[in-house]
Amino acid sequence: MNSDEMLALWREERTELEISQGFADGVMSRIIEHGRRKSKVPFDLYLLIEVISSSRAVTAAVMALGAAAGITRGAIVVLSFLAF
Amino acid sequence: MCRIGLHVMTQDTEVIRQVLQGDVESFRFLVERYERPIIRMIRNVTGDAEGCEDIAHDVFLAAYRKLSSFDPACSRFSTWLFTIARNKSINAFRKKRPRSMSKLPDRPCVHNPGGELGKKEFFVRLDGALQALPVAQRRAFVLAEFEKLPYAEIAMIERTGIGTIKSRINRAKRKLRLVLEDFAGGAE
Repeated sequence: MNSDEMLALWREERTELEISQGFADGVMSRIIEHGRRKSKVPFDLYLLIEVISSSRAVTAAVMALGAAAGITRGAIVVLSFLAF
Repeated sequence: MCRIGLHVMTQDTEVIRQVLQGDVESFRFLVERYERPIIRMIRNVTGDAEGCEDIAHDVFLAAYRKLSSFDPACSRFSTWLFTIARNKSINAFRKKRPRSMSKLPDRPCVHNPGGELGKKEFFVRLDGALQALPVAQRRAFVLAEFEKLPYAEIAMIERTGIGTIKSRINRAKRKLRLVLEDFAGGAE
């Protein structure tokens, strides 16, 4: 057997493959597990954004709440600074 | 495109549509159709016969998660899947310590290259030479020579030009040919 024939044999051998039995089953269980975990997530950011942007009143209320929290936090920082 | 290729593409697209509509079990069809080429490509690129199935698991899981972003107008499903496999192989390769040319097995003392021992040594040496290739050259070589993908498809997977792919494959072949010559020299 010459080198070229052996090279072809090497290529042939490297394309042969034994896959573990149940490889596809393993992948499918991981996918199903992934789906289960995803549906268990208690906090859905996209849903929250959707709810906030659903009506002007809700958007305004959330923004007012955010502004109030910001102002309070700023006031606490200034007061603590003045207290020293 | 040949009729068989077109049929496979249409079938894949139909299955993907079913999966996206909530029929998760249909994804098994895609796993069973592509498990062999994906695992083989990962094994030959990473040189990791034990870990290649774990990487392939990650490839199929990532494909499932990103399935809605697959656009059949842009590429075949197999090309898209090979691209994910390429990226996962790169990540796996980064975790592994690269093997340098100096770690290649020493030139074998081959008296009978056609014999079982000579053949085994020759294969080990070629495996070593393949793993010692720069990773981009190795991927291009594996996709062209083992997976028999056309240059245009490899260029899409590698996100580069066909010219670059051709040159990577030629350089890889030249380096492997050196091993062949070395082997023939050792046999004399």
